[in-house]
Amino acid sequence: MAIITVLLVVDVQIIYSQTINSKTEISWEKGEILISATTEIPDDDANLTAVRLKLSEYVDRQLTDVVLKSFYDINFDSLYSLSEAFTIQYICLLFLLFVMGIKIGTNKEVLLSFHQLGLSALVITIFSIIFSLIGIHFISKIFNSTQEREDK
Amino acid sequence: MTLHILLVIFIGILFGYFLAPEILVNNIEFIIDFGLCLLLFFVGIDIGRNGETFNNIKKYGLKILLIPLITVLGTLFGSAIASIFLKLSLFESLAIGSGLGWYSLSAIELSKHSAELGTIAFLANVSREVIALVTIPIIAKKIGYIQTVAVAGAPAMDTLLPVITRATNSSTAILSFFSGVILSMLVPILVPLMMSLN
Repeated sequence: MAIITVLLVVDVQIIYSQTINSKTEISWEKGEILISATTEIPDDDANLTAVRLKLSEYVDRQLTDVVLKSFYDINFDSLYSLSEAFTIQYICLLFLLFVMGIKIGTNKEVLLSFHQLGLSALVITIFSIIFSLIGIHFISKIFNSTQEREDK
Repeated sequence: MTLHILLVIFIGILFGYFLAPEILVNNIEFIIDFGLCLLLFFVGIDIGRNGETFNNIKKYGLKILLIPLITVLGTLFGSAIASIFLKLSLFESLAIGSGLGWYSLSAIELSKHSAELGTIAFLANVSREVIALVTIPIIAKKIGYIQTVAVAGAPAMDTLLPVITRATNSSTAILSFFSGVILSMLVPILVPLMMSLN
């Protein structure tokens, strides 16, 4: 739990630093710390947005308020695709699966018992998956309609 | 994506079976924990970046509980039907199904009763995770996003969360996380309960 909390805090900091990204300047004026951020969209050179905030305001306001309202006219998708996070995430996943494979590979008892008990296990799993899938399929309309309403 | 996953696991198994360097094997739990933390960290960035995510939870309201509830009911129903075809009793089969994909816990819990049950629980729940890994990208494409959460079961909150996030969208990732948390809370209750009814 503690680890997750720490990670969430770091996450928030990274979102701050990525959204108000490399062109962030911190200056000192009349006894106040000012944060200025300028963001450019690569395929639309006319679109240049800047925001200047006092540090006290910056901290006071909530993350989404500052980011979304200040950068209202920025296409977030293009910012998103610039980010490396998705790729790193995928590499991490593949690495983890590789280690999981090693774990299965080193446990020779598990590899051997796959033949004997594997069939019963597989039958239970397949039935479990199929019926939970059918169940969720019936109620999925409720969730899809909520998502569609949001899209509109 | 499915091909990458299968290939990586297969190479991992071969690597573990033939080479198995001792430093790696001794520290495998730490490596997995570390990898998982790193992964959840990036999934967190993904979820946090989408400003709409938390509004979505509010919009879903109590409906969000329907997903884990139906997943449990579907899984138990499926396990009950499976027991007809197997040598296992109804409640043994239900107890194995109640692992909901959390193989370490369900296997340890059931191996208290018999090694055979423990092994079946391990294999059943590992295969649930593996089947989910392989089918989530296909289900997301062909059937729907929400359905991927049902297949995942309890690992929808950790090991399978990045797979679901990649195959679907961040709204579904949030639903997946909540579903996984609730299912993970149910596993330690359901498995012993089913065995006590046996």
